[in-house]
This record gives sequence, C-alpha cells and structure tokens, in this order.
Amino acid sequence: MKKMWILSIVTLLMVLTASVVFAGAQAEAKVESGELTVGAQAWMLEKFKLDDAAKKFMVDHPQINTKVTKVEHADTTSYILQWSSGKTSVDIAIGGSREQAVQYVPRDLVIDFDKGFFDDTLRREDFIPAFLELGNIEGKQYMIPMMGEVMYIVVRKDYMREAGLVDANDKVIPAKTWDELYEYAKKLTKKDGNTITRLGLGIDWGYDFIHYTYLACLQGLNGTIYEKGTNKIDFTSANAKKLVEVWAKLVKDGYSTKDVFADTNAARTNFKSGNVAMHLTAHSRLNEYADLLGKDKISIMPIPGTAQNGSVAFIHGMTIPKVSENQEAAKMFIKERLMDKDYQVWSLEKYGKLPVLSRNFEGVDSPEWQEILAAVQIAKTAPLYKDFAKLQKDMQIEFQNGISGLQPVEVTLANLKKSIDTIDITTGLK
Amino acid sequence: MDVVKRPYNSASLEKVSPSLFSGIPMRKRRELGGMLFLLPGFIFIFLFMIFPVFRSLYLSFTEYNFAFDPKPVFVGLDNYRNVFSDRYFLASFKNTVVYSLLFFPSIMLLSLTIALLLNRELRGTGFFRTSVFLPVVVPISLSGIVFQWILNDNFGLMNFVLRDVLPLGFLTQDWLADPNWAMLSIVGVSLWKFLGIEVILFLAGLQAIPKDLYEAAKVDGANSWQSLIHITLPNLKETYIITGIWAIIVSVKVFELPFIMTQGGPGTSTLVLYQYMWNTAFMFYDMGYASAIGFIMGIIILLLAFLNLRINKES
Repeated sequence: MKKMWILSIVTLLMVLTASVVFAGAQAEAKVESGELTVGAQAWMLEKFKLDDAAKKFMVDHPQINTKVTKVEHADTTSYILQWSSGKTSVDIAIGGSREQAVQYVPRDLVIDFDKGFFDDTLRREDFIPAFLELGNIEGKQYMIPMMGEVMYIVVRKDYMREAGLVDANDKVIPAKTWDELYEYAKKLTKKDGNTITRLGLGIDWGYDFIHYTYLACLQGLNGTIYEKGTNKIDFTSANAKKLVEVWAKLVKDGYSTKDVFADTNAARTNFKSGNVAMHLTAHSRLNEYADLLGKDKISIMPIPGTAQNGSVAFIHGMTIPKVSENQEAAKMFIKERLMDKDYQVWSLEKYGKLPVLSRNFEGVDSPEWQEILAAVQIAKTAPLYKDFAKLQKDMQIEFQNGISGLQPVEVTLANLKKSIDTIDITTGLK
Repeated sequence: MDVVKRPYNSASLEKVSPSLFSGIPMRKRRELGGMLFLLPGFIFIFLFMIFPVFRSLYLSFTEYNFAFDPKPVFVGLDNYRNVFSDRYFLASFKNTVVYSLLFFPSIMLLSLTIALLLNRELRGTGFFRTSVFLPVVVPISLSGIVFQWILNDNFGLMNFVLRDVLPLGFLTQDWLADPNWAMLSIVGVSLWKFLGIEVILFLAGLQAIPKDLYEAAKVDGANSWQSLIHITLPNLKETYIITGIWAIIVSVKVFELPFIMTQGGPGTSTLVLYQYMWNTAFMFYDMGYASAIGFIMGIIILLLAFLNLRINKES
C-alpha cells in the first residue's frame, strides 16, 4: 500500500515536472519562432544601428525572422487606425515621445511594459529617471525610451575664442542670464556693411521644437515650467515675458534669425555653414557639428539657468501594439539589442543620441558628455495634456507673431494664456 | 477552317441559361444587363465618394476625437457656430481669400498672355512650350522643398543672386519668414508650378478658333489688336470657364506649398483653410470640427464655381 502511495506521488511529480518543462518549452517555442517587424523613422536607421541589431538578434534567435521597416515620421494616425482594426504592420513602433504614446492608451492599443518586461536583467532603476518618466502615462509604462535628448546650446568655440568668451582654460564661459546671452549674440554677430554675414544665435522656433525651446528656457528661468500652484504651463510670469522680449529683441536687432519659422532646419544648416555662432537646440547636434567642423571648434553651454534648474529632456521611444502576435519576441529584441551598450554608445558617439540606461554611460568620460549627463539627471519633461498638439501649434503661431513684431509680447502671452485655459490639460484618460 | 461569325443576340444567351432570363421581356433584359455593367462603378462611387461625404456631414454635427472618444457625440450646429468665432479659422479664411485674389487673376492673365505668344508658329516655340510646362511635372512637394531653400534668407539662391550677382542687394528679403513677403512668395511659386496647365488649356482653346475668322477679318482690314479683341478673346469663352473653374479650385484648396514651405507661418501669415482643416483633423484628431471646416470650404468652392459659370455664360 505504502509502495503504491510512493509510486503515485512519484508519478504525479513526474507528470507535473514534465508539464512544467513542456509548458516552458512551448513558451520558449512561442518566443523563438515567427516574424518580428520593427518600424522606425527613416533617420533612426542612420543614427541607430537597427539593421545590424536585427541581424545580430537573428543570429541569437535563428527562428525569429527579424526585419526593420522605414516610416517617414511617427505616424500615430495610421497606427491608431491599423491597431484598432486588429492589424499591425509592425511589432515594435519606434519614434515619438509619450505625447504620441498617450493617443494609443484610451483604446487600449499598446501593451503596458510593467507586466513582464522589467526583471533582474533590466530593472526600472537602470534607466535614467527623466527618460523612463517620458514613457510613463498615469503610472503605467506604455513606452520604453530608446534614445534621449536634452535642450542645450551648442556653440562655435573658435568664434567664442575670438570674442573673448572662453576662460583661461579654454572653456566656454556660460551665459548666466538671458541679458548676458543677448550680449554674447551681439558680440558674435558679424556684419559686412549692412549685410549680416554671421548670426550670433540661432534658436529652434520652428513647429517641431518650439515647445521644447520655450519650456527649457522657462525651466531655466523659473525652476519650473508651471504657473504657480497649477499644472498649466506658465505664460503669465515676469520671466516668461522677459524671455519673449529678449527673443523679439534678438531678431529685431539682427542677432538671431527668423528663417527657422519656414525651414525648421535653417539654424542647423546655417550653423554647419559657419553662419551661426550659437544654436539653442537638442544637445545631440554637438556630434553632428563636431564631425563636420572639427571637435576643437565645437562646444556646449547650458541655456541660462538650466545648469541649476534643469533643462527639458525628450525621448525617441518604443511601443508594442497589443495586436502584435510577437510581443515576447519584441520585448526580447528591445532588451537584448536596443538596450545593448555597444549600440547605445555607438549612437552617442556618432550622433550624440543619449543612452537611456545609466550603466551605458560608464566609460564615456569626455567632459561634454559628463556635463550633458549631469544635465539629464535633473532634466524635466514636457507635460502630458490631451490637447498638447493644439497648444504646440498655438505656441508656434503666437511666438512667431510675437518674435516677428506682428503683435506685442503681452498679446502673445495673453493669447497663449487663453489657449491653455481653453484646451483640455488632462491626460484624457478616464 | 472557316470561322462562322454569328451576330450577338439575346436568344443565344437564352439558350445558354434559360432559367436566368426566361420570363423577362427583352427590353428589361437589356436594362438589367446595362445595370450590371454599371454596378461596379456605382459601388465604387458609393463607397469612396457618396458614403464619405454623408459620413463627414454627419461627423460635422458631432464632437469626435478619434484617438480618445469611443464614438461621436452629437452637438448639433456647434461646430459651424464655433467656426465663425475661431480666430485661426478666420485668419486662414482671410489668407485663402488673399491667396485666391492674388493667384486667380495672375494665373489667368499670365497664362493667356503666354499662350498668345506661344500660339505663333515661330522658331523655338516648341522649346518655350516645353519650358513653360516643365514645372507641372515636378512633384509639388519637391518644388516646395527646393523653393524653401532658394528663398532662404541667409543661404538662399534668390538673395545670393540679388546681392552678389546682380547689384540689387536692396531687394533681398527674408522671403518666407517675413510676414509681408511669405504669402507673395508662395503665390509666386504657385504660379511657376501651375502656369503650364493653364497655358496648355488656353493653347487648346486658341487652336480651336477657326482660321477663316481671322482671314475674313484681315480682308475687312482688321489689325492684330482688333483681331485679338474681337475674335480671339470672345471665342475663348468656353476656355475661360474651364480655366476659371480650375484656377478657383486650385486657389481655394491651396495646401501643399504653404504646408511645406512655411507650415502656415510666420504666425498665421500663410495658414490657409486646407491646412487648418488638416491640422484639426490629423494633428488634433478633432474630426467633427474638421468636417465642418471641410463642408464650409466645399460650399465656398461651389459658390465661386457657380459664379464663374454665370459670369461667363452671361457674357
């Protein structure tokens, strides 16, 4: 009888073990086979070795046929339409920040990475907080950052030397206030008769950057982007007014250029051709400019006040659609390849795109990158409003009107105040 | 082997499938056959034209953010009412009118003049005809990007030529970022882009005028100017209708060039109705409001086209 009991228990254990092993093997088999399609914006294929990452992933997982497809921009509309009709052309959608990701959430179109993504190999704490926060929507991680950026000023060091704006150690002396930055721009502007041959400062006022530009400058000035006691972006403080007044004066006096209104890359192109001395933009231009013009000619300095108060960071993030049949493989690809130090550091060194994991900064010891990393650690993020796109458009219109002198600065700010009071500043999620 | 050709008749059809057609009179059968042939066209028109029009008409009476709202919420005429107090709509409406007022007469006058010049059988006419038509084959998006560079204040070709090649530095402008010049620049590029089509239409009209009218006038002692005023221009009436309607449609639905060259800026200087509608629909996902803007634009185009038709018919 006793033998029978022992035999029964042993048999039961064997069956249980076999079923666990079988289930595990099945899960592994599910992950280890199929097609994985990674959709990324065209520029990302150049600035992050995605094709190479896909090839390496296939070497490690020969059953998963991995391919990368190009999209022109983070086309949220197409993805919403596709995913809500139960189809998808990609298993990982790369591009955009949480302003894009939030559009997928109300219809439950993307997975929540809190479930089954983070583990001992990749913990939440491994990420740079500001970057991880940029994928977090109301406490849930719907987007994982792939590359990060922070708003900064990239400068022509040789021009700064000429103008006496470097210290005894040949380090650029940062402008502490906007009045000081105005003086820098004045000093660095060159004229040939009535023709301006070099502009002191280019600022990204185009549609794609206007919100980051304003928020970073405001954060530097006020230590917050919000109106006191609210979660509304500040358009009423004295510093907000002062900032827009200096912007308008820079343009009026010919020390900055408006051509970014039409061509969002104009300041970048002008900087590359030596026609701009300082460029307020995403820090990653540093590498692009250094590659073209020589490392010794390029340096960085913080936007006034941001060294203490923090600048504004943004990410190029990744989402996985719920309709994807390869979610596990997609997660594996992100963890194994896209978070890989080699790829992230390559992207940093070649194109200045910041790694999103703190550990990937180890060994990166250039003073500029250390400065940027320090800035990222205290960086803030843009707010998550349901109607942010409306506000962004309003900011483009009103600031351009104010800077061009089409309307007084007070009217610009009053219109923006009206705009933020009218739009929906909740996340829009019930 | 001889091939026997037999004329088609429905009796042969009846033999093939008697159950399908039996009992249906011949006339009805023919009508049925015709309708069956038309059916694919009807389905296409219904699915891709009629249904979307009625669907967006319905949406124009609703509030519907397609990313956030599960379904449209009926709001009656709110969207239509809000349109007239929306300063960006009013700005874009004004800009569209300004664009149309600049573009419409310019393209009509220029294309007619060029067509009159190119209608002569002179040496090199073929080359000039091709040159005038060439911009039409350039994709409009590419034209926008290229002219964005040409018209750039700092590194643009236009200012370079004015300043460094010709001694006309005083004419240099910030063509696209100066609110006073941005719209004019876009109109200029539009003329370059679309002139060829209008010229071709006018040339077709000119060549359809019977030559004997000119010969008769010549016999009567009419000079070139009199022939132009009394024969050429009156005989182009049908062409004015076609070119006029086309130019009105192009003016009112202007979108690509301002979208690419200025994104509606500086401020709202070049924000036009179509771009505002596009922003509302595909940036803000406000489908109800965007549909209302679309219908208002549709009504404007219809009214203008009707006006053009009336003027030309009366004259």
